[in-house]
Amino acid sequence: MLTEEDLRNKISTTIPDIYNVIVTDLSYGCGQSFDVVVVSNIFQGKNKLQRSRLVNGALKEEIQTIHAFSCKCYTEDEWAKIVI
Amino acid sequence: MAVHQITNQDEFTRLTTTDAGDKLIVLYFHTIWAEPCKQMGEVYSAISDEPSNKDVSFLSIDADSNSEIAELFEISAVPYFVLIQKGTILKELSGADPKEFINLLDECKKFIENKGANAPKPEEDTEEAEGESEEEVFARLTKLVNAAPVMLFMKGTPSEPKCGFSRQLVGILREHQVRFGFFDILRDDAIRQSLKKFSDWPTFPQLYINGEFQGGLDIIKESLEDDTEFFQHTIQQ
Repeated sequence: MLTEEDLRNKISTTIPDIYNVIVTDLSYGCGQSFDVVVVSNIFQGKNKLQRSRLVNGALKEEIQTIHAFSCKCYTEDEWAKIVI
Repeated sequence: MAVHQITNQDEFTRLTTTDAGDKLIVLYFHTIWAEPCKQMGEVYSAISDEPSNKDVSFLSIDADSNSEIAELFEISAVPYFVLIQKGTILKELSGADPKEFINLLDECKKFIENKGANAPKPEEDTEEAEGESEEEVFARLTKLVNAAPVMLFMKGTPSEPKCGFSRQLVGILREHQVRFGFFDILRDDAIRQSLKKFSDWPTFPQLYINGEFQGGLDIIKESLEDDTEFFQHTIQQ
């Protein structure tokens, strides 16, 4: 069964230039439904589809085993606008 | 049963988009109270039974109980016939003249033949499925994603979604009054798996506009945040 840490590790080691990764298990520990936020400048210049595909590629095996997966990808600038 | 009675919009969408293939489809709008419809209904049924029309799909729609479908075609009088193929209206006919209808039907059949539509009939497709190469599957998928300008691949149907994300995306499309065709990927595991490769996307729902993959629920939501007319702008391209 997957945990938030599993996904966090996989993303941090596969996607370059990580600024922040936030993984939330929406299924309260059942490892079935994850909400993921990835902040990295690698997303600069990429449209939403390309960004998501990057994350999908990194989590290819994991996604196959879980039921629901939702992901938001931001560059550092975009993230700064949201968080401040 | 040569004439298929439509009883709900999902069925209608499915028969005219995803299950349609290259077939000529005739829509017959009628009401129970209009006199000419009584006789025309019998004629319609007889025509649908003719062997020469075996490749044509004959649908029958009560305009009163399916008013949303009737509105889609702006039906103002019955009996009314609409002949469509590959999501395009070929001809329309108002009135109860059997001869006129038969002529129109023949005209459309000839038109389709001449276009050289050589796609295999749906029954043949399933027989060949096991021996299909990836190219053949992808060719089929290409047709499927183009079945309608906006195609939603979802779990369940719009009236009975089997997953929260699919339900949300249907809600969004309806909220923005977008007409869309759908395919229930729970009904066909082969399409479900091959579409993941085809779209290079691991999950459902998946939205296609004009044959191009747009994304899943998240991306569509974000796209709408950036542009409230996202659907209109993308469909127009």
